[in-house]
Amino acid sequence: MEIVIAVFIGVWISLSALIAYRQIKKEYENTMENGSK
Amino acid sequence: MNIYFTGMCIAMAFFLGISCLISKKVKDAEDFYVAGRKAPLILIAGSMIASYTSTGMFMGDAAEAYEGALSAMIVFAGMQSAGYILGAVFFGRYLRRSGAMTIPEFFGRRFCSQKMQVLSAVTAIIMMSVYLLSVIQGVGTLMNVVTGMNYKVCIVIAIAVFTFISVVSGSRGVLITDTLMAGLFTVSMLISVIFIASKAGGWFSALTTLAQTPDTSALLTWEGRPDALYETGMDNMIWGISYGIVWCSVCAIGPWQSSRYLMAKDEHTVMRSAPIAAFGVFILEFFVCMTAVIINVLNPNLTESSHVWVWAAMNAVPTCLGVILMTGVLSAGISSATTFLSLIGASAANDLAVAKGNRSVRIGRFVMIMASFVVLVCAIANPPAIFVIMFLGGATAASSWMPVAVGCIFSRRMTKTGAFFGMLSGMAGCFAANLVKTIGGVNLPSYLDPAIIGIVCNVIAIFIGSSLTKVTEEEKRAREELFNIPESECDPVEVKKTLNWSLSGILVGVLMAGLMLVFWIIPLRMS
Repeated sequence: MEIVIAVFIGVWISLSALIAYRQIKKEYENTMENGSK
Repeated sequence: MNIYFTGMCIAMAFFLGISCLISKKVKDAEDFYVAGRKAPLILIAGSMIASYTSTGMFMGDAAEAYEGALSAMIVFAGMQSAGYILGAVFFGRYLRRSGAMTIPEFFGRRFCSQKMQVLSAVTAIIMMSVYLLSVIQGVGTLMNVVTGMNYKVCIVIAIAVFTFISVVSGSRGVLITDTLMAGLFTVSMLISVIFIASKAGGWFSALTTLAQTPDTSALLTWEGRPDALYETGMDNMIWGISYGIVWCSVCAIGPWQSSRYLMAKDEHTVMRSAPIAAFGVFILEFFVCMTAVIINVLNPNLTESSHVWVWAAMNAVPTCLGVILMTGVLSAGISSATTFLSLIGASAANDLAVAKGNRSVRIGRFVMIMASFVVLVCAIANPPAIFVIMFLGGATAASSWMPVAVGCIFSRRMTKTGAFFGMLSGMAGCFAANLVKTIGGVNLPSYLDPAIIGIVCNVIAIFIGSSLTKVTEEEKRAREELFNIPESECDPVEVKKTLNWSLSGILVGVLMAGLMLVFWIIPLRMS
């Protein structure tokens, strides 16, 4: 069970970072596209 | 005057001196409240760690781990760290982009509503006053135990110091002293961990001893000791997860955390500070709690478990290091207190008095002095309850602000009425549940914490309020403006660097899991 805790926390943080990364990337890409039009 | 008190006095004099020097650079309200919006990465990340870390962690969280709720504390600490990563991207950078002086001003502008600004200012002042009370009680208890001086005298000294720092140097001073204090307690704590573990026979050997001794064998397991928090291990775990969610919200949108973003020099700084704060806070929580458990090897019979780190500083490390460690813990408390106090002043002056320029600074300073006086009276009149009051402050932040903070950016349908009643209902729900729990003596189940009840009330009120009213054109425009990235933030080189920083958050998750495996789980399984 302790191992489940470690894996859960690792996945929780990594997933949050991935979601945040995708949001930043999407927003910058939209801005760049709008700027170039 | 013992050596610990001497060390504390030297540290306090040093921080007072620094704040006097910084005060000369405070020219206007923007300098005073948002550090001129020029703060670099190190100050933003350092201040976020310092604002989180207080006597609540060194005394409250450590006590729970010492008593037998280690795994619940680690689950809560790990989950809350994600709040920094999500908060910076989904709230912090929009906050920074708005150019507001305070978070209540941001809410007011977003919903084009003065009422919304006033309500969020009132909730901010309540939650920060409650948290300030917890911190000052912790600092007073710490100084009282370590120096032997009267508790009330200790509180007066501590309040005088952090009030002076906040009033004289404003946010600019708070950011710099916070970062220095964060450095002091992080370094002194990590070095002390080595000495404490060594005195207990070495880190891994101490874990083996704990696991093989019948009285302490439950301490390191996921279930923990029965009755440490709740009666069963599963209830402890549910508490850890529900509080992990609540504190994830607090770290994402809590005023003492997200207000740092208003001071950042640009949006890239906001986003880059997130993985540092997430990792820094987790490392501190992990080692504070693990070491508190290891102290059971040296002294399993402490009558007051919140003094576990104080006992270790005075008995398990060299005197010189113990002095630095206690000074570091004191600094941790003072650094949080300066943040709370400066935010109380900012909200009162900018959002309630709606003052501008130097008048705003004068009002802010006056309110800070008054707030310190009120907290002083409350701290003297009430017995210390560091853990309970600290969580009450966090619960109020999560229940009143979190759904509104997320919705105001990502919901097209949330109206000012929905947001207003959501925030009000969230705070009222949390407060009512706390009343039922404390005064009514009702034992709520581990998954039904007052903060969770408050969040549910908040969301329901947002839905009802927003469905009965319509989003106005000006509200729509205010929301759309948040998504216009300023040209100055679009430098491709900086954008690429920020994306790489953001990806490093994935590595932080892997490192945290690795840390738990190496320093906790593998030694436990092998013993």
